[in-house]
Amino acid sequence: MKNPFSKLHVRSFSAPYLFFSGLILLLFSCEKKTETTLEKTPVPLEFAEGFELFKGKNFWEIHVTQGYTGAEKTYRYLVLEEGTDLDKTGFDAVVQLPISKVVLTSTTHIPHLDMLGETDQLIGFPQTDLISSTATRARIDAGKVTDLGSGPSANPEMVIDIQPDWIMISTLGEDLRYLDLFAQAGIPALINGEYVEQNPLGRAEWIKFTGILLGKYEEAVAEFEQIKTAYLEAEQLASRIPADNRPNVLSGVMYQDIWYAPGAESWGAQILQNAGGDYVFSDQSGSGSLQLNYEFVLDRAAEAAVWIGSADFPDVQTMGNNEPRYQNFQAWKNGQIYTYTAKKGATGGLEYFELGYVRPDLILKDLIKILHPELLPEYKLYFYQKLN
Amino acid sequence: MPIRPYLFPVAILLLGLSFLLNLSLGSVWIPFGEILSGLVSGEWTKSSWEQIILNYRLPKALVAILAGIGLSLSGLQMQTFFRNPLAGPFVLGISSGAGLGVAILMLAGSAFGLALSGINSWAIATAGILGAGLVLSGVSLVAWRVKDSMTLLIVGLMFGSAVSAVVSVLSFFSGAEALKLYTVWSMGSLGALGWSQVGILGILIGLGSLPVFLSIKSYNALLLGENYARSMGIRTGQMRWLMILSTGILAGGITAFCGPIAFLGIAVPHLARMVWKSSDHRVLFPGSALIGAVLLLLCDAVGQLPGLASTLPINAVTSLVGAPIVIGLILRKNFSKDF
Repeated sequence: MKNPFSKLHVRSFSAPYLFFSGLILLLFSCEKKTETTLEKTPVPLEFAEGFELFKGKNFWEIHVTQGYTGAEKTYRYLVLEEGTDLDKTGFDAVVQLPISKVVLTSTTHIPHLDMLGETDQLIGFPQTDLISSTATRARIDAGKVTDLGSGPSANPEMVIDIQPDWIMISTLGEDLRYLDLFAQAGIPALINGEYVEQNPLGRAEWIKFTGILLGKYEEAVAEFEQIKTAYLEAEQLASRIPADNRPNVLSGVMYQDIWYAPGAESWGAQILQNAGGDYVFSDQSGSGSLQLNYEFVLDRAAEAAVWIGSADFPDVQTMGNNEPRYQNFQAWKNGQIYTYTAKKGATGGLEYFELGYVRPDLILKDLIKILHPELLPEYKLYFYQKLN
Repeated sequence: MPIRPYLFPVAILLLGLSFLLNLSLGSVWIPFGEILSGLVSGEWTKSSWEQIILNYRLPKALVAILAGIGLSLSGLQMQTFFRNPLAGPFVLGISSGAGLGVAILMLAGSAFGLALSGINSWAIATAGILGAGLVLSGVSLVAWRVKDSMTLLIVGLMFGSAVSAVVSVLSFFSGAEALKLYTVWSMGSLGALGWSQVGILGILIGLGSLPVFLSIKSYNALLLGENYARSMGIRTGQMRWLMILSTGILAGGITAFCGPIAFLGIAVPHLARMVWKSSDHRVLFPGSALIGAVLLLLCDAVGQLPGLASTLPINAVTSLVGAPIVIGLILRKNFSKDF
């Protein structure tokens, strides 16, 4: 390593300089020593790009490379199997299996617990009303899940008070600023960056991340394989549709005179294309939300056959009355509007936002059913509903 | 002082030109000839063009004119009344009040079982007007008690801060969707109104401008100080009420329908003083109204980013235009001469 302080040494050899630079060198060398390299082999992932898995003897190592949008730091986590003790220095968090109580902060993590049969591990969640899963709701109703406050992120005092074995955080909730606090309190805080992932199956593959943290990797792989097979089969089905039979699909919603729609590279747009639709904004690149001008949208999509993912309206008429400019779209006139906000849990949470990340196969099949019903005659819409 | 009356026809011509420019610029390229022939004959080559011009650009341009006039008039009234060059339409906390009304509707609405879908531009405008009215009555109560205009100004500012704090608390506890809705509102928008709302806004601007024309002479007298005005027989108490009422209706109505539009109300009266080189309100009121309308039309045309699919929020454009004007004025030596 190049010594960045060499210039200082040339200029002055005074004792304090030597002392401090020596101290800094010592710190650097300590830092280097902490990069413990345990013997491990990488376990390849199929679609996810935001994390990496390594398996060693009696332990897992997880590197989260995209914990949030634009993350530069790689977070290294060590998961030790029961009764294992290893050198824990240099990791951002260490999870010691077995675990019995966890805190989650995003509804998208809830289905992971359900699918892995570990619903009973959940002891805390911010704004429990957002959760729709019936199994988890039963647990909430029995008073076994502490509501960690109604702010956008979990209340750190309450988290420390209930002492979970780990807490999974998603930086969308801005929990990042509590990372150090949780570390000091001895609570492993793990960043789940699934939302950064734009490949639908990549996003679903994060169930493996949760699986390892629960000591249920095999089960997670089995669940993921099922989802993957279902998704790829459905995609295969829709891929045979010739280009001229792909209906134009409009998406998004207007606030004031700005139209918000998913960007062409986004998760939602990809599923739409895979379902045999022709997304009207497919040339508007971006992995997040697009802000488009009303007149651009009208010019582009006035004739679009189907409109998907509109806002929370009870029916087409209310929608048109509420925003008269919606009425200029052919999809509105023909009543071809489908929304995912109709399906709600017992306390008003949206199931699409909870289960959708891990079940892209259901979203894909829903969209195929909407755009090409002849391909899936038996299938019933799961998330989407046609507006009356 | 020269009054330069010949500038008025020029300004009116400019207004017409910027109106046409505003109509012809947008994300979608529509040939100018097509717009003119469509407007005259009512026949359009593409039905989407007809929709865009008649139901989007035309109301948007009219709203720009109305809001430009209203904000400039209320800004000028405030500056003269408080004899403060940095006073604007919102110093009495009116935009914060409208913001509070809208915030309660959008952010706390879900708590009262109101779905986000129930929020349309009518509901937003009603909430905004109620909120502005609430703050306005608070300020009026104070105005009734205190006679000093500086105290009134400070109380107005404090009202605004207190109300903004309530909005912050509401935003902190609200969901992402509602928060987004509110943020979008707070960035201002001229293009969200349909024809019926444009009509209401027009009536409000008309009503709010009436008191201005009733008290133009009083404003001129006020330039020499409140005591001097009183000695000339101006009833400053009555004038204060007219001013509160007028700016309340103008700024409150515009904020309710378009969101808070920054800087225009502060910058335009200064521009009018510079252009007409006068501090006579018989010139400044119509001058400010014209410049305000032209400026907002141009700002909106720029914000449309012609040719691109996206738009800049109107607030961003007006601030980018307005901030340099105000800075330039502060750097001018004879800045406070007019007050």
